[in-house]
Amino acid sequence: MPGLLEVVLASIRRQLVLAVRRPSDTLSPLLFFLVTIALFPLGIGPDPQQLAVFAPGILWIVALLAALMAAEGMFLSDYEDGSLEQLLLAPVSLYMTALASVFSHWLLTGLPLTLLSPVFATMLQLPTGALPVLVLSMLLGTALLSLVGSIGAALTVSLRRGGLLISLIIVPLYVPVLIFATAAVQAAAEGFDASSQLFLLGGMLALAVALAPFAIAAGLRISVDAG
Amino acid sequence: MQFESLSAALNMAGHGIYVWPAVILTALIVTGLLVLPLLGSRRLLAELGQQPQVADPPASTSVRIEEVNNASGT
Amino acid sequence: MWTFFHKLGSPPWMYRISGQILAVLLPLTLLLLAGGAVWALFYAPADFRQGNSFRILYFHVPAAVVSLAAYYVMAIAGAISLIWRMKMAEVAMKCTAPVGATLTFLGLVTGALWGKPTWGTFWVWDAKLTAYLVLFFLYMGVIALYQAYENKEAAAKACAVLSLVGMVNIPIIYKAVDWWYSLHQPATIKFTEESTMHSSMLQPLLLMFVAYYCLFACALLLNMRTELLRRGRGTQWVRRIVEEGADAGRNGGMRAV
Repeated sequence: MPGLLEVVLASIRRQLVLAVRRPSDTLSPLLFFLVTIALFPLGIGPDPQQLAVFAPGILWIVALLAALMAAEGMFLSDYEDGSLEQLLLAPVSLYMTALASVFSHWLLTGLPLTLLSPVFATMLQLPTGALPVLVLSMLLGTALLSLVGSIGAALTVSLRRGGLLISLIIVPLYVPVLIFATAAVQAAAEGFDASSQLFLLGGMLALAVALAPFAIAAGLRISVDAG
Repeated sequence: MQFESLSAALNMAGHGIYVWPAVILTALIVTGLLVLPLLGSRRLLAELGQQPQVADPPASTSVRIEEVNNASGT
Repeated sequence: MWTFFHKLGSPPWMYRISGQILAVLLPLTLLLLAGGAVWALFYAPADFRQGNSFRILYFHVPAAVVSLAAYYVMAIAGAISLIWRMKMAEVAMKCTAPVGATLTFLGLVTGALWGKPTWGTFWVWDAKLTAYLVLFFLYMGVIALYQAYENKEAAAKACAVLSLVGMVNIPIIYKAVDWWYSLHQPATIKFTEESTMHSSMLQPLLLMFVAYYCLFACALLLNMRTELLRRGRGTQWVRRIVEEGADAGRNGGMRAV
């Protein structure tokens, strides 16, 4: 019988292989990010100073929407082909496998978003000095978004019209992330110390890592039982 | 009593147009919160009370069912 | 002690006892609400800065506070239904959601009506209003999730999980929104602090608080009775109640509760 670590690693590897075979699933949130970012200068005007003021908010709102989009399909294919059921029947703690699937999901959506965010930030005239804080806030924040989004995905995966519902369920829970992450980038852009906001994000992340897998596991059980 | 007349109470020194809609809305919502579930119970009880009659369908419908059966049989 | 819990889980007992409670609580609620409203509207003194618009506070603050408390009631009922598989807790959770959402809505609209004379605009992204807007979304999420599931047993479980997640998040959301608001400190008038309220203003407010809590209890119990009947259709005890109702109807008697 395989150990816990092996199962977790196997489940992460499986997700990554699936993603490599179907790159469009991974790329579409990134493209969505780029396309939506490009809308803002068109909507509010190309004035660099104005853009710089709105940049932290724009970057984070779009990141949030991209995370929402990515969360929607998170468990869908596993649910449809029955591998989710296998996962529930496996003699390993669902807490760990849920955490593993969130981690691989984050590797495929949150991490690329984080790595590309300086490019988009530069396009929006965010001061260069704020870029390290932006990347850090993205690193912590997207992980939080993935964890919270997975709860919504787990609860709605068996529903046919899950897509709209998941935004209604999850967006209110994203509010603190948006507030602190934007504030961190804003503070950095204005030349202030942003460490307290980043610490708060880190604290929320620790809380979410500890608690969210319980909700995800419960949600997956309910969804599989209902379907 | 804070107001000398009814019109003064309605006007509330210009703030009546904000206070009274809030009061009316509160009254409506209170009524709704209490009356809607009561109506729901009533309707459900009435519906359940009629179920024995539904189990014994009126003659006209049974005839129609027979007609349909005949039509499908031929 | 245990027999009480067993009784609490029994629909016929709950239906009967809630009827007895409501027979007292419902008139009391209406009396308290009417008394509180008259006191607040005609006898409480006007605020020296906000004038008479301050009277909206008596309708707004209790609605806001009770709607937040209702979310906790919903989440705790959800937790009980998940842990001990108690059907009654499930019924309570399902029935709290619409009542709480309605009260949140009332709090939001009365808040906007209060905002116009105070801030000069119906909506300000004030910390409290924003937090209550998020609370309203949380309620909507739970209700929409319940509606979306065809399998109502799964729906109740899913909503229980979601409301628990929401309960963990509410303090964080409130702190975050509060902090966010202080960061963007706009030039608005600050409301009078509750603690500095004069007793002539505080007493009707306390009365309204009691009235709103009673209102919540009444609405919850009424909704639960409907839900119990719906779930119990076909069972012996519901059939008996239907027959009693039919007898009462035949005798021309009106049985409200």
